[in-house]
Amino acid sequence: MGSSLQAPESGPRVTCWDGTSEATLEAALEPPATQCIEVGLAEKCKEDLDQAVEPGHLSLVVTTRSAYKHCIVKVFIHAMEHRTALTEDLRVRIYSAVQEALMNAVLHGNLRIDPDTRGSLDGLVAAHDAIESKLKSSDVAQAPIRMDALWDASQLRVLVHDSGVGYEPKAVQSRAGEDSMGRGLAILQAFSDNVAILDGGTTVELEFRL
Amino acid sequence: MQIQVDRGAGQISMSGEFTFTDHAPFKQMVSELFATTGKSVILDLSKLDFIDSAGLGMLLLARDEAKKNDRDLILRRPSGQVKRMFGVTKFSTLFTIED
Repeated sequence: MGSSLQAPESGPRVTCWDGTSEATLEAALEPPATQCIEVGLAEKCKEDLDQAVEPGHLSLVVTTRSAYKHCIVKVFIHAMEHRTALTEDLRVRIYSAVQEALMNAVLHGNLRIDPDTRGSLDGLVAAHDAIESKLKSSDVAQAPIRMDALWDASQLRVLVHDSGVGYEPKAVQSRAGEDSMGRGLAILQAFSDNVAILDGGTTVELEFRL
Repeated sequence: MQIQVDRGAGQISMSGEFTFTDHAPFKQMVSELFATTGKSVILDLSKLDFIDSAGLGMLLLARDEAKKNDRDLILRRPSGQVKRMFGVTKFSTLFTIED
């Protein structure tokens, strides 16, 4: 179950997720929560905790292991739907684009899996073996991934931040549509109204007009 | 993602969501490609609700594995988000897609 880390006068706003299931994440993200942090990450995210999260902002920080194992994006979007109206078309576009950004953050940001290894069946099997092996390391499994949704009457922005070393955006743009990474970028561009690669490639910002 | 196999009809039906973490049912699906009879194998996508770029990449791997075994992979009845993803990534240039 979600539990409160702090309880200001307006009620619990920062909650803690136990990392066990989508159901407990859903509970932890229930309004009036504005920020939810997976258990064990509070110390690592102290700076983030100190930044007040305003209304019209929902923030979620999870471990790499949880982002890989659970359907985080689906629950996060459901939590947004509890706070602002989304049409079915917009919900599909947000889910498609944010899922792409999150898996990119997990696989290439935090786990540093080479996208070229998945071009064959043997490569795919090797990639999954490498992921399971990397997740045995606590440092890798516990590396945070942060998602922020910020909205007003006219637009919604979703930011996905990883803990990796970043990349050169132009290197991916030149491969648009050609391979898995190029397809991923094409999907971000097609389903959102604007894509920005920030912080040296460790943050993706997706903008949707409401 | 779940799969349902009709070997006699040469058809595999996919349902649910097909993303990067679905490599286990995907491997099962690829082994079924070789177990079906006939030259063409149909992947019925009418009950597939969601796919990401990794799922698209796995479909391409399935196509390549089918070719190695002298089979053609046909994608049938994609709808909703899956159909939109095929449009965005121009999948119709890479597969035979039937409505």
